[in-house]
Amino acid sequence: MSRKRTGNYFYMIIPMILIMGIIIGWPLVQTVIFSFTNSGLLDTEPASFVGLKNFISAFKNSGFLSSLKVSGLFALVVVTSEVIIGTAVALLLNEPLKGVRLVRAFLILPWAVPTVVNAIMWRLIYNPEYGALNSLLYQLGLIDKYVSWLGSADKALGSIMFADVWKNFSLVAMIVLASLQSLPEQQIEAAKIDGANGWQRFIYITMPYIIPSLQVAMVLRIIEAVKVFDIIYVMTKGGPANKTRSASIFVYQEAFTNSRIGSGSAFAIIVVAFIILLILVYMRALNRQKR
Amino acid sequence: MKRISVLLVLAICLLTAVSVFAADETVELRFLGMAQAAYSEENVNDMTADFMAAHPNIKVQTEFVPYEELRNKTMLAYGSNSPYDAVLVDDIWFAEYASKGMIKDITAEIPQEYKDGVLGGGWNFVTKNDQVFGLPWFLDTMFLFYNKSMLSEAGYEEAPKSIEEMVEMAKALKEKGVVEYPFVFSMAQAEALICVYSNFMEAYGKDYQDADGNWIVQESGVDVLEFLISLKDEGLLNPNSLEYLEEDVRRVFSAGDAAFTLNWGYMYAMASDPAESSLTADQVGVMVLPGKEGVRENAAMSGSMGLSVISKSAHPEEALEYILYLTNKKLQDTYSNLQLPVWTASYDDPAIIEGREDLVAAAKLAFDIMNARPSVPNYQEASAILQESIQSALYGDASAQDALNAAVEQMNALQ
Repeated sequence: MSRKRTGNYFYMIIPMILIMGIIIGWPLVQTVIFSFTNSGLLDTEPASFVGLKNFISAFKNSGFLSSLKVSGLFALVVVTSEVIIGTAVALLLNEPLKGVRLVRAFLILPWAVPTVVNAIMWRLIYNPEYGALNSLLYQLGLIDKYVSWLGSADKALGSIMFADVWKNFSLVAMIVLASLQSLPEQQIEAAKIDGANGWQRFIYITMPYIIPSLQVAMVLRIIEAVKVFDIIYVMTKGGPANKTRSASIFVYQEAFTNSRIGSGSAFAIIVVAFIILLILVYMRALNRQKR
Repeated sequence: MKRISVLLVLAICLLTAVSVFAADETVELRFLGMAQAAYSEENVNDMTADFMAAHPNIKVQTEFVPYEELRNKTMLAYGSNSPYDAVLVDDIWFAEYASKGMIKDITAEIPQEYKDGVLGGGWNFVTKNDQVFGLPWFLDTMFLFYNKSMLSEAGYEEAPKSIEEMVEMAKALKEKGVVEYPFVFSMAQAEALICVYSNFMEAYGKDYQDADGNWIVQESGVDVLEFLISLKDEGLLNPNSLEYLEEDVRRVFSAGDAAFTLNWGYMYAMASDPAESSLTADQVGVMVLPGKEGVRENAAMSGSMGLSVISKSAHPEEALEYILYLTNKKLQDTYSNLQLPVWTASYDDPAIIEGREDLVAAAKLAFDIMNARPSVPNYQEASAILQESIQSALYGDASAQDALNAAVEQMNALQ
């Protein structure tokens, strides 16, 4: 393709670049600018430049550090669980079992449920007076009295994680299943002839084949899990005693409830840096594996 | 043909001019209210439709959000290019809004009829530094609801007269197996927790701040918090209270699973509504929370709300007209089955009292004695700190003293 023709194509994407710049770029730039100021929500007083003060105070803020821990733990547990469960389900649905096509169609349902609806649904399931989970566990004899799942400091985060895994494992399963469907049958047959058992076939043939898809799913899920807001906000609003307050909820409260846009923006940038750091670590591990 | 074309153009110009002129005559207002149980969205929209029918030149667009989002939405809109014209304001937000210049001082524009006729307790919370920043829309407090049948079953025919007597009754109810958890309160990490705590602070005759506005709750509030912890530890308080909001406790009480609860006035009608409750009207008792023995007879904390005109409104006169309409006596009396009016005379009206004598009597007393939660510009942040500290103590993560010390340290850092 000639340089001239490439130039023409570039002009055609200018409108898209402009739109993306306005929609994504400008708010991002504005957030960075805010993070170095003491801007308030209402602009009743002129904002002034405060340098790195907001960033330094963020690392001294125990509430923010604790919310980062909640986000990190949430991401670690839900992404690991979703990858394990999603892969297992995908492997099962790749087998020529009876009714598997119908189950594949239903697999998308949890993921298709809007997060807020999912959160409300699980709030009802966890209800300590009439929730279905308590009823089930009680009838099975696993508990002797109804449990307050979202009102207990030690159970609330785990309960939210479970609700999130239920919703999102199907995304991982679908991505892995799509990859499994394109796995050449000949490779499996050849391994069988060579005497490889089921576990060996999975480790040496299936796993290396699905790893790239799994990596895409993990990157997507890590980003979503670290910036988790809606499911926690609807289910517990960060309580009890801030035990489920994620970094995104902390940023929201700082910027909008406490009306401190400047420090809220700084906290938001730190959260983004935290996500980028996690992805870089992950990509580095990925590249090492490729080598 | 040419003549017809000219006439057609003239006609179009005339129609355009008329429509532009007509459009100029119509004022569009935006009102932000709360999605709630008492005056529902439907009720407010009905009131608004009546207002628009009476004021054809004013069109009001209403929006409703849950209580938890009301303040943020008001502030975000104020900071943007499209602020609301009139908003609903909780009594704890008046100090903040007024200090930031968000709401209009309407002192000089309040009709004499309103000044004379509205209950004094109403004017208290909308007035800051002798300036009136809104009109009281409804007065409310957390009343003590009790199950008369349960008390009767345990041998009590009278309502408790003090906190100590109430706890004694609760212990008897539990011992006799009448109810597993006599108390249920809305103590989730939300403003409802502060409302419950504040009511007991009132019952103990304690204040959050001294006369100079310094926080003293680390001294004054410890025994109140220890009292709540003792209710939980003794199995008198439903442990799920720590995740409950007002609607949750209403359901628990209405299901006959609690003997005592604190809730807003709206619960009275719903607690004996067959569609909402298993209780009958004669089983539901309502009263002002009794005080601690030797301290005070009764206690109440204000949970009232008012209507204000946003200072950035392009149509402040029409916005004031609208909120005056929403608070007028005739309208409030019409909807008094949902929310008690803010007008003194309404409490002597037999049509309003009939069928809910207990509630009206309790309201009359409560609205006279109720105090406000701390009135500070950064209330929202202070409240969030207190919520976390109180919950930490209730969960046993910290002692009442340590939790409140930590809270005051953080709240002092805000100033």
